[in-house]
Amino acid sequence: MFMPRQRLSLIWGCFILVSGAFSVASLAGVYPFPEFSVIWNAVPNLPVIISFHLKNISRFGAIGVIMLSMTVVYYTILSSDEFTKNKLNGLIVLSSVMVISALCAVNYVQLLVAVGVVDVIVYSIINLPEAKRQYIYGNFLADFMLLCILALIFGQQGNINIAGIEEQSQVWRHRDCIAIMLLACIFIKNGTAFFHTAYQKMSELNFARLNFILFAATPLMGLIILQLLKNILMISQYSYPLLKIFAVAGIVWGGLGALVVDNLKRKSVYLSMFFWGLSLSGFAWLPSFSNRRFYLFLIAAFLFNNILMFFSKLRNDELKMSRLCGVLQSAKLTFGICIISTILYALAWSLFAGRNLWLTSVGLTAFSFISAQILSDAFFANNATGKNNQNIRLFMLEIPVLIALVTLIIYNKQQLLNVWPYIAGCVMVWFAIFISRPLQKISGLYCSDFIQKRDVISDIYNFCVLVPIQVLGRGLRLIVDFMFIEKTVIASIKSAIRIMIIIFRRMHNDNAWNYVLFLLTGIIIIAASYYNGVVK
Amino acid sequence: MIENASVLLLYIMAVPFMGIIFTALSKDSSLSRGRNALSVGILTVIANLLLLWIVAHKIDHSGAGLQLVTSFEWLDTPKIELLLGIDVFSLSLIAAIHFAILLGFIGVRNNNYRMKTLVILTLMFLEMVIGYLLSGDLFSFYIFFEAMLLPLFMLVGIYGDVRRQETLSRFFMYNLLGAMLLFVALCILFHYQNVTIHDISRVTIKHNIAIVVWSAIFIAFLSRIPIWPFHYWISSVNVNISNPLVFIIANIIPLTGVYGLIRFFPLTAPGILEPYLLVLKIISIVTMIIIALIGFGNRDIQYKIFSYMTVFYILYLLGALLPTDALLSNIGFSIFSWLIIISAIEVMVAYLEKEKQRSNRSDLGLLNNVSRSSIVMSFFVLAAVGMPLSSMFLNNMLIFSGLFSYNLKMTMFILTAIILSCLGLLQYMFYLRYPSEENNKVTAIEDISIPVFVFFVAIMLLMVTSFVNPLWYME
Repeated sequence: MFMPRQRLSLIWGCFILVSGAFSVASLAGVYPFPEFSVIWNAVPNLPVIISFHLKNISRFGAIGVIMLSMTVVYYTILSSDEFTKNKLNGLIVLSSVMVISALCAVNYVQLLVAVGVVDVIVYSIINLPEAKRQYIYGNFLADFMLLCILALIFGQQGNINIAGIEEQSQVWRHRDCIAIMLLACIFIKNGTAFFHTAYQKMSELNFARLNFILFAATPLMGLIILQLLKNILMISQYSYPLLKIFAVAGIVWGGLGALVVDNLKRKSVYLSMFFWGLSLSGFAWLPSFSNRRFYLFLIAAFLFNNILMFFSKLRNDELKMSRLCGVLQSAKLTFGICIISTILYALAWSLFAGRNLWLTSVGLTAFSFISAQILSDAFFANNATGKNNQNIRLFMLEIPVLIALVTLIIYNKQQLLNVWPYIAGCVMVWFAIFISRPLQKISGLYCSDFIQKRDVISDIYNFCVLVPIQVLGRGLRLIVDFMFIEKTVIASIKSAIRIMIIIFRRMHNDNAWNYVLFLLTGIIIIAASYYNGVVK
Repeated sequence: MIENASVLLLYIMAVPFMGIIFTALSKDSSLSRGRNALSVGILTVIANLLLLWIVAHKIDHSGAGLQLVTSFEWLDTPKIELLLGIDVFSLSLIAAIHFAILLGFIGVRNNNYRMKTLVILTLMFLEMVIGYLLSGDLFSFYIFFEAMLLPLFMLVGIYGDVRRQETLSRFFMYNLLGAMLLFVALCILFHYQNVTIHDISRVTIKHNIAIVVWSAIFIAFLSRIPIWPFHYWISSVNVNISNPLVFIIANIIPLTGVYGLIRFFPLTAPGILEPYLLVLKIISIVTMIIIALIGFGNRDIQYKIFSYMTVFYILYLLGALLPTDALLSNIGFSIFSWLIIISAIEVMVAYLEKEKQRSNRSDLGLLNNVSRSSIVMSFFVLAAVGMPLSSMFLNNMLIFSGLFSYNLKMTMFILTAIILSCLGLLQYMFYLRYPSEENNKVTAIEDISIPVFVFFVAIMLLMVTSFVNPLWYME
């Protein structure tokens, strides 16, 4: 109350950072981590235990999520274009708690609740109506599918324990349906190719919000769902081929998008799609999924994405790559940090996917071309706009990259010592691509309106899904409500009643024949009732 | 302390009646503009909610059958004994109806048109609905089932803005026809054996008569639910009602139909109805799909809300018709939040409609620059579509689970309808929040006042705390 607003947000931000550091330290074993279970007041027929017991496998996940969130909080504190820092930091903390809750989930309900709450939190973090709309449409469908899958499984399994899936799945019915719905849910959350429209619409959020959502919130929840419910995928022969197809589609589409898109934030979205494509491919092809290495890779990818933010900051928040050319020429330190980020990414990927040489090579090659192209554009290309860099120091923003590099080296010293000749070879190849710029001509696509502005997938959804449903709805109202009920059923009943009234009125006329007719009608009704009630 | 807890049910029934008397006696001048009557109405509802709270503490939440039963011998020949009782299911519904009507009162706080009559008729309706939900014998059940039509018809007629008199008459006639069918069926049942509703399966009737009786009961309850082709009359009345309180009341009527079916079926229905049940299920699902599609394609928000409500009513109906009563509490808990959520949305929609007319604007971007309204609307729409913000979330999952176990394909259709109706609500919300340059030029509408916002926040907290079990704080 007595404190300037800015200072208050600084203190709140620092408090979150200190709490985060303490949590990481306790998760790493320096202090005891408070673990607990809560028996929730049960829904009728459904006993629920909310557990916060971290197994070793989820411990690394929790550390990774907290570190990522703390980095975003740190960037938010330093950010000058973020006006609701307290609110954003609060939402980031809440989201991280829910992601950790999902990591600890031992039953479907805890997972489902965490997924849903993260969606609501991310919905609040997005401060653009159009992006909110796309996001909630997609994720509402994904959550609904997940709810249905778990309802379907609960109906057959009779309990909500994730642990029992493997043994009990053998007797489930509708296996293909369950597996395909689960994959659709994961793809929507991941934002892989053909499901990325919602994330594309977020490209006007500021970098901190955008990168948090892309790496530490909804797409990560998609991967956690995949990890926790992976046994469900085993029950269908279609699931792994589908997973592989969409993983490759994510890598290709994301990689191409990152190369040809001019807008830095959209580029960031495509880079994240590329990253999630690699992660899904790791899940699909690697013999086992190492949590520790995956979260290291996640942090590395997040930090690499942030170099786009550095470019923008250096040129007065310019967002077009074509206008940023040569931005790194006069920012040598930032250039160095970008190189470190690139190496960090490559190292983390090699560690993550190292058990599959073919996958590692493909990923490294694709990443080398993408990163070399982006950095060479930022370093070598002519500064056509004639604008100079702002006189600002990004050192504070770059600290997390150095911390991550040191951490990676300390914790993976042995593996790195084993593979250093390969790393050296890769670095040389990368520099060759960086200097020779084989994909230089792609920069010409920055001027293509079709590529830069057109959202083909949205158009396809609108044209093939939304418009037919709306037309069908309006047509049905016309046919069912108006033509059938109003003009046929009601009109017929009205006419029938009118005819009966006319007949009865005539029968009541003062005429002997009508008297006989009236009597005869009565006799016929009595005879019919007698026949139905007694004889029959 | 109240020693004889069963007397509480009589109090719950007496409070709205007292409210009617106090409202009728309240001073209504041009200065007060019905404020006194409204205050009495609100206090009556709050008083009853407090009584419900006490009742909730007195009953066994895991117990089956009616509790706190109180009876009154009405006639010796024929022997008619009125019976009142409550269980967790009816408690959830009664509490939800009270909250919904409280929200409706908040929605009409600025209306000046015949406020006193509005409050009296509303309390009369509340009295009848409570009686209906508490009744344990056939006679009181029927009396309240029919009696609630009177205040409903007057409310819709006076405040409903139904332009075509014919539509209104049709709506009434056809509800009355349902009530008459129930009367005939219950008379036949009574002729065979005088039983309570819970023991109705003990009555043995001849095969042909059983078909007539059960079909009549079936149609009587169905006539209250907007199932094809009945949906047409209900929708033509509902979508024209601009008064939020009356809209809420009109939309409580299908709940009475669903409640009736739940009380009489599925375990008590004879096997002869099995083929008809299948036909009903098919018609229900077709209705769901058609109404959801029409709601999605329609731009009128009242129709979207109607479509959403219809789809969920049919979901609860189909859940109730499953050959088990294990899901009864889940249905009750889900309806608890659902009714409150949809009432809150209707109150907000009516408010925005009024503001729109006052500022001569379109719906587009109406929620821009009005943060309080925007927060309230977003919360309730997100809760309505099934985000984990209320007890609908997990309880619906269990209802889906029951339906899935029964028939996968049927459930897939149901879910498609639910998705479409939810998307219709989301579509409307984003239409209200749509940013455009044109909207920046026009003046923003007036936001809801801080006291009203605080009230909505309290309801939002109630929803969040009801997340798993709406009655957890009463256990």
